[in-house]
Amino acid sequence: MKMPSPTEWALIELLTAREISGRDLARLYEKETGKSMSYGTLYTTMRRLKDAGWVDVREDEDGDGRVRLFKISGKGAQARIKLVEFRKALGAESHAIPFGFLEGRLA
Amino acid sequence: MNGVPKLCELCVIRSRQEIRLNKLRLLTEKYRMRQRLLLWLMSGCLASLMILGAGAVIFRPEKWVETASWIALMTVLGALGQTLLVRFTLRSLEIDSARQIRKLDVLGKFRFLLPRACREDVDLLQSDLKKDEREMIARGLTPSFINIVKAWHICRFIVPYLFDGALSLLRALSPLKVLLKIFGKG
Repeated sequence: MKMPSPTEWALIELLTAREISGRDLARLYEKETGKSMSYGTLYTTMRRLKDAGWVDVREDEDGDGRVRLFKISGKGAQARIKLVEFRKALGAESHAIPFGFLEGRLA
Repeated sequence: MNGVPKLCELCVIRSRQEIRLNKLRLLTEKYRMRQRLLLWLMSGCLASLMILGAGAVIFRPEKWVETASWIALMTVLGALGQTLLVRFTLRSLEIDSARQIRKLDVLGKFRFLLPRACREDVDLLQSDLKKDEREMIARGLTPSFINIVKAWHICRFIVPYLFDGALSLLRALSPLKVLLKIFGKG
């Protein structure tokens, strides 16, 4: 996978081993970063992360219809640790690494 | 047992309450109808004024043209403003639930324009919006505001896909452009 974009990185940071719905994740993102995220962006980004194997996805249903639940996968957790270490080594602030920079280092 | 009403008394009380409720409903409907009628009459008057003004500009002699054009301009602006006002008021009078369903239907129709992998996102968005709507209603926000928020979410969802579609269309057409250039030169 490529180096994650700032949005992907922020979402990976928010995810835990506990499952969270897309709507709750968008709310959490808004609360933590102060920026709103459209549902379209969220689901597209999460699909990319899922394709990379960083996120586990489960489909469910409630009274309103379909719900998609996300949690970080083992691979994602490992990658997150590596990313944090990598960032510390660079001395970079959170979300400061530009998109596509040092591509493939984490592979 | 004087304080406790009998079953027949309860029935009477209930039927009275129902009659009152029905009267209220009728009054509200009459009020709405009267409002609609008044608004349409006003806009009709303005529209006729506009036509008169336009007629004055077209058919009157030259000395009248200046005044008549001014009247025509004012009436046009007035009629436009009034039409917008009438539409806005009528929409706010409509039953809100019907409008909400219509908006979510737009998403349902849009679903078929998407690639198959993204179609599921529409279902997810619809269920998320339903939850958002319920939350906003519980917070006591006005229906108009709720509709604006929903429309905003829908637009933010649709626009990137439309942009992506337009780009892919351009990409598909670009070889054609190259061919046209080659043959054009030849």
